[in-house]
Amino acid sequence: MSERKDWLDKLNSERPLTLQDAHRLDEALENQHAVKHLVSGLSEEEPSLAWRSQLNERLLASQPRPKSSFKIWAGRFGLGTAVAACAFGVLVMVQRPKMGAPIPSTASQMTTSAEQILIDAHESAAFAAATGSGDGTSPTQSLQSDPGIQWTEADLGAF
Amino acid sequence: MALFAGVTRLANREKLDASAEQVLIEQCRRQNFEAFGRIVDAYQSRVLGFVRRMVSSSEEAEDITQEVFVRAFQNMGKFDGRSSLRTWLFRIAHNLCIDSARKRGRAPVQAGLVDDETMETLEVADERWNPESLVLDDELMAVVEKAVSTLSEKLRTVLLLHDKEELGYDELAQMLEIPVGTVKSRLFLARAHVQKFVEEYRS
Repeated sequence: MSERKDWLDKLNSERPLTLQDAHRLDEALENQHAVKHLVSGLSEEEPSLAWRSQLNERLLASQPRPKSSFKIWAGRFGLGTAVAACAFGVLVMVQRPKMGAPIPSTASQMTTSAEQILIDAHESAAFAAATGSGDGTSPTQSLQSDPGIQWTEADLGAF
Repeated sequence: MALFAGVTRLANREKLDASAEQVLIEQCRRQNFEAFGRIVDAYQSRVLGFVRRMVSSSEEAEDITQEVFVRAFQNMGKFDGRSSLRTWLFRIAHNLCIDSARKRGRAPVQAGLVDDETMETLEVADERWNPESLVLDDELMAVVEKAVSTLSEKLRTVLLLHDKEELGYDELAQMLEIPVGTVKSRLFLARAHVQKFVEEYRS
């Protein structure tokens, strides 16, 4: 009797069972098949259509929505436009100081860009033309070398 | 929409074999609503039946059961297949029932402990306890329902999942993270409790 009480105490307090206790438990479970039969016969609950419809809505709401192709296209177009606008803006900002800036007069202000070389060449030519100095293409030199109209004696006699 | 195709199949519950279930799981991992609808068809009654007996109200049971399927759908990618889909769904359901009970501050019920005197009564041989001779009428089933509802959550879980949902000892031990011996002892105590209720009803 005390052995059974001890066994029941172990089951109630979920203490570890000896091999003999475990064997006894298996036998006891075998003898309870009628209860299993009763429990397995419990009714099942069929959910309503409203319940299922609500579940479908919850499932749809839980799904991360894929972006539509139009949204993807519009997004890409917008991004491209924004990048182009930024590039244009940067170009304008870079160009603006050059357009309004004074003509560089010292070597330190000179740049090596092709545009600057052309400006320098133009200024040099203008200076040479004004002062009559410089290379052989200066106006004075060209006047000296210009042969002019070659008058003949006949021409002079006609006057 | 394909998702709503499942509604039309409510009446004829679908039984899935292992290979068909595996195909559906793979489809569900790619967020296929129709495949998941078939899984819901196959398990909704069983999950709802289990949850209904674990919580206090029908509304709460329906809400928890929906949450079971929503979580299953969201986490299908994490389902590793080490347990069956059925065990996984009942594990989610069990955890949600426990969470719900904690939130509501429900005191744990201690019903189900068997004393020596009760055990002596139950061990008396009785040919009326032959399963074939038991008539499962509505009155008797109401007594069984009452007995189950008065069990502690621990014993009720094991009784319902083993005897009603036919999960094995090992599956239950893995799911509840307890030794197999504890599963068996809880099952024995739960059955003894039900047996005691039925004995009282019959006498």
